[in-house]
Amino acid sequence: MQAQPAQTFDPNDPHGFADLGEHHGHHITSTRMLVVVILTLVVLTALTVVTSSIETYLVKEMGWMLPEWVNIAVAMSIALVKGALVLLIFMALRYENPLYSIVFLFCMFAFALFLGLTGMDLDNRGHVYDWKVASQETGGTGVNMTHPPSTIHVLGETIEFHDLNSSGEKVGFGFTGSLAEELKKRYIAQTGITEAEYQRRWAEANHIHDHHDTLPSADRSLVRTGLSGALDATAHDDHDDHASHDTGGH
Amino acid sequence: MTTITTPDTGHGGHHEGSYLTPNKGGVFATIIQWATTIDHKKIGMMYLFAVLGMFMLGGVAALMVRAELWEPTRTIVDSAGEVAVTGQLFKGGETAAENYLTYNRIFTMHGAVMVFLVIVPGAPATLGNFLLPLMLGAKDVAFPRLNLLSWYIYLLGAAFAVLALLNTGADTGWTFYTPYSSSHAGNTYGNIVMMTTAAFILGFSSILTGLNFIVTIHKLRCPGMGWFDMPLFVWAMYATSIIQVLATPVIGITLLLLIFERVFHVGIFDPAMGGDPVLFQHFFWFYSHPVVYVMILPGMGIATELIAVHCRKPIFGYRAIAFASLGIAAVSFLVWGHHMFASMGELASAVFSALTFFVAIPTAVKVFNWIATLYKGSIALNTPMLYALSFLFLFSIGGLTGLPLATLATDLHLHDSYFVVAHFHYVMMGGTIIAFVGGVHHWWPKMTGKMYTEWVGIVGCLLVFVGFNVTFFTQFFLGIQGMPRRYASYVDEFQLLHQISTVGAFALGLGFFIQLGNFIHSLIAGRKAPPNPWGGLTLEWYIESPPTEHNFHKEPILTHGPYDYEDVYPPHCDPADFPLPDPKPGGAKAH
Amino acid sequence: MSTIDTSTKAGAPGEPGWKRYKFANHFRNAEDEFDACKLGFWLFLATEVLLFSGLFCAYAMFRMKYPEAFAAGSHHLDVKYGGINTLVLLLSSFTVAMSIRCAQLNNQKWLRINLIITILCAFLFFFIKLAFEYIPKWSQGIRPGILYSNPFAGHPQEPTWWSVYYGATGIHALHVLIGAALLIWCLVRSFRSNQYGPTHYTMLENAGLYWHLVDVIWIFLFPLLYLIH
Repeated sequence: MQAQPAQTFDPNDPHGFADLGEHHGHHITSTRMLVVVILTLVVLTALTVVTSSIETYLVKEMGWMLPEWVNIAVAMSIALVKGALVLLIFMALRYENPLYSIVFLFCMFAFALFLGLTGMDLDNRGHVYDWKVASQETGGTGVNMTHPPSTIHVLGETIEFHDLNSSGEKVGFGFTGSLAEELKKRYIAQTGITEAEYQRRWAEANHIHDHHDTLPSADRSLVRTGLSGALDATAHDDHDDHASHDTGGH
Repeated sequence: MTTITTPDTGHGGHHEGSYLTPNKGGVFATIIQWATTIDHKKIGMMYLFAVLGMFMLGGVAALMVRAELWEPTRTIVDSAGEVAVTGQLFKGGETAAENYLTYNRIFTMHGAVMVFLVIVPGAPATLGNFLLPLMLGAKDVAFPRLNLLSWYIYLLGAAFAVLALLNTGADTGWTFYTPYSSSHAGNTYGNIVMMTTAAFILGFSSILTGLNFIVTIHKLRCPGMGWFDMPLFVWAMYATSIIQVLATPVIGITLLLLIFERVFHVGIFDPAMGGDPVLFQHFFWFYSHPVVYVMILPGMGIATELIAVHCRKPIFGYRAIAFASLGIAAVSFLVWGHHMFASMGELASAVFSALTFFVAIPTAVKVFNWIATLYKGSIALNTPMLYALSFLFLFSIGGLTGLPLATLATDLHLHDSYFVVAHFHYVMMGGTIIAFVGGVHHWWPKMTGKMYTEWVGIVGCLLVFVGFNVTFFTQFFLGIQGMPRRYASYVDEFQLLHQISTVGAFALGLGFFIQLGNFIHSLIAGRKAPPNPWGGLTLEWYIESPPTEHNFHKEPILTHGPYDYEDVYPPHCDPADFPLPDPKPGGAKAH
Repeated sequence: MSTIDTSTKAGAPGEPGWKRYKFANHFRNAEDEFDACKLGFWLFLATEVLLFSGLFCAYAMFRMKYPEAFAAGSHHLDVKYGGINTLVLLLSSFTVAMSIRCAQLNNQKWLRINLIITILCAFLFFFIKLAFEYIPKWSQGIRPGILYSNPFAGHPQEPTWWSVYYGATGIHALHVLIGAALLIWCLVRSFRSNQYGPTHYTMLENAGLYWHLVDVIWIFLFPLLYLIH
C-alpha cells in the first residue's frame, strides 16, 4: 500500500473516531453466557404468562379492581427485558462497535416519534369527522361494501354466506352499518334460531361458559382519560352526546 | 503542498480506457456489459438517463395540466337553446364531470412520476452514485451488487408505474388519501393497486441506495479523509441516506396496508369498515415529509459544491453546513403533521406548527453560509453557477413561503390552495430540480468527457429561471385569492393569472428542451473535456474525464480539505488561471 | 469486465471455504469488509423494525380507540400455542448464536447441528402457527377485514383486530420463512465448502442477526396479541 505519514497518525481516521469502538467484530460469546441468557428468557416467558393469568384470576374470580394499565405495564416490561437480552447478548450489541447500537437507537427514536406523535392526535377524530362529511362509526358504515361469499364451520355447523344473482352465481351481499351486525342478522335468518339461542351460541363461541363470565374488557375498572378522551364516545354509550358537545364547543 | 498521489491523464505506462469505452464484442456485448455492471459510474449514468426520461414524462404531464387550465370549463347555452361545454381540452367521457377525471389522472401522473420516479431517486441515485465514491477516493460503493439490484428494483417500480398509467392511470393524486383510494376512487379496480405497488417497490430501491451510501461513507473514505474533510455534498448525501433508511420502511408498510385495504377492506384506513383515514395520513406523512428532505438535501449539497467551486473560495462555515444537514434530517421526523392541519385537533396542530418552525433554523444557517461564501468570491457566472444562484433565490422564496403555511391561522386560509402548489414547486422544482440540473451541468464534463456549449447553457438557464417564476409566482396570487388546487376549472376572475402561468410553463418547458439539446449536441460534437474544467479541489477532479473503470490508479491520500482554495492550486489547471489569493496578514500559510 | 473482484474461489483448492475467501478488492482488508457488511446489515435491520413499526402503531391506535374489540379478539387466541411458539423461537435464537460461536471456533460439526436445529424450529413455529391458529380460525370465519364471516363477533370492531392480527403475524411469519431460507442457504454453503470459519463468517453472522430480529419482534408480538386484554 502507500507509505504512512506517521506511526501514531492513522490516515484512515485522522480524527480518531475508530477509537469509539475497537475492532470488536470477532468477539466470541461464551457458551455459559449464552446458556444463562436462554434460561433467563425461558423463565421470563413463563413469568409473563403466569402474571397474566394471575391478573385475570384476580379480576375475574377475586373481583379485584386492577387498573388496566397493570396488565400492559407488566407484560411490556417483561418483553422489554427479553428483547434487550436478545439484542445485547445474542446479537452482541454489548460487545460490538457502539455504532451498531447507535443505529438501533436511532431506529427506536424514529419508532417512538412515530408512535408518540401519531397517538397525540388520537382524541380529535370525533369533531374532525363531524366537521367534515360524516362521523366515524364503530364497526364501520358499510358504504359501498360487499361481503364476499364465504363458507364457515362454526359450533359444528356449516354456514354459507352468499347471495345468488339472477344467473345463480354466488355474489357477495352489500350491507350498511357494521359488518358484525349484518353477519348476526344473516346467521339468524339462515338458521332460524331465536335471539336467546343466538345469545347462548354467542357465549359459547366466545368461550363464556357460565353467567359470571364476561368477555374481558380492557376498561374493567377505570374510565379512560388522557390521550384518548374521545374514546368515551365509543366506550360508554351513555355519553353519546360527546360528539355533539365537541362540535358545539367549537 | 498538493501531493495527492494520482497519476496524470497523460501518464504513459499502463493505459486504461475510460469507463465509457464500449465492449470490444460489439453493441450487444456492450449492452450486456452495462446491464450487468457493478460499476457505480455506469449505474449512475443509467439512472441519469432513466430519471431524465421520467422527468420528460412528468414534464409533459405538467404541460398538459397547464394547457387544460388555459380556460375554465364553461357551459354555454346559445339563443337556440343548444347547450355547449367549452374549455375542456382533455376529454375522457360523455359529460363534463367524466372529463374532469381525465384531468385528475393527468395531475396524478405528474405528481406521482415527479415525486417517486424523478425527485426522490434523482440526485442520490444519479449524481450520488456517480460522485460519492469519487469524492471519497474509493473504488466503488460498499456493496456494488446491491447497487445494481437497487437499479433493477427502480426499473421494476417504473414499469409498474408506467403500466398503471397506460391502464388509464390512478386519479387519487400522488398522496393516495383514503377512503378515496381504498374504496371510492372512480376508476378501475387495479390501477391504484398497481400505482401503489410501484411506489412500494421504488421505496426498496431508495432504501438500498441509502444503506449503501451510509456504509460507503463510513468505511471507504480514502486515507487522510476524516469526517470533516469530506466534501459537503457527501455530508448532504449522508443526511439524505439516514432519512431514506429510517423513513422509507414506513411508507412500505403503509402502502402494503393500503393495498390490503383496497383488496380485503381490512378496516384500518377505510371508515366504511371502521378504519381511520386520518391514521393513513399520519402513516403517509411520517414518510412523505422526511422524504421532502430526501429531495432537498442533495440539492443543497450540490448547490454548496457549485458555489464553492465557482466562487473559488473556501466554503463559509463548513461545520455549520455539515451539521445543518444532520439537523434538517433530525427535524424532518418531527414535522409531518403540518400536512394535516385541517384534519387534526388543536393540540396536535399546535405542536406540529411549533416544531415546523424549527426547520427554518438549519435551513437558514445554510442559506446564510452560501451568501457569506459568495461575498468577495471570484464568481464565474457560467451555467452551473447561474443555476446555483437561481437555486438560492428560488429556494429562499420557497422556504419563506413555507412560514405562512406552518402558521395555523394563515394555513387555514391557504391550505389546499395554489399558494401551497406554488410553495412546494418553489422548493421541489426551484430547489431540487434546479440544483440537480446545475449539478448535471457541473459534472457533465466529468461524466461524459465532453463540454457543452456555454452560451446555450446560459440561455437555457435564464429561460428556465424566468419561465419558472412566471409560472409559479402567479400561483401565489391565485392561491391567496382562493383558487383551490387540483381543480380542472375555475371562476372567470382567475383566468388571466392562469394564462400567465401557462405561458410561463411553456417557456420553462422550452428552456429544458434547450438544455436537453445542448447535452445531446455535446455528446455528438462537444469539445473534449479537460480533467478539471472548473478548478475544483475535490478528488473527482484529480482523475481523467471521464474516469477509468478503477477511478483512481492508486489509492489517493488526501492532504488538503475540499475547499482549500487559498492554499492549493487546483489539479490539472494552469496556476495562472487560478491564482492563489495574497497571503493573509497573519502570513502563516505562505507556501 | 467488472472491476470488483468478489470471487470466493481464490486460494488453494484443497482448503476450506473460509480460508480460501479473499475480500472484495474495493475494501482495504477483510476486517473492513466484515465491518461494512455488518453495518449495512444493522441498517437493514433498522428498516425491518420500522417496517413493523407501522403494524405496532396500527395496533396501538386501534387498541386505544377500541379496547373492547381487542380484548374480545385476544380472548380467542390460545396462550398455549403462543407460548410454545415463543419458546421455539427463543430456542432457535440460542442455537443460531451457538452456531456462530462454533464458526468462530472452527467447530464445523456443531455449527451444522445448531443450524439444523434452528431451521427445524423455524418450520415448527410456522407449522404451529398454521395448523393450530390460522387454519382453525380461518375455517370459523375469523378472517381479516371484509372477509370476516363469523357471526359471533364480540364487538363490532372485531374484524379490525383480526386485520391487525393477521397483518402482524402474517408479515412476521413471512420473515420467519425468509430467515429459514437464509439459514438453509448458509447450511448448504457450509456443507458444500466449509464456508464459515474463524476468519470469515460474515453471511452466517448476518443471517443470525436477521433470525434474532425475527425473534425480538415475536417477543413483543406475543404479549401484545396473547396476553394483553
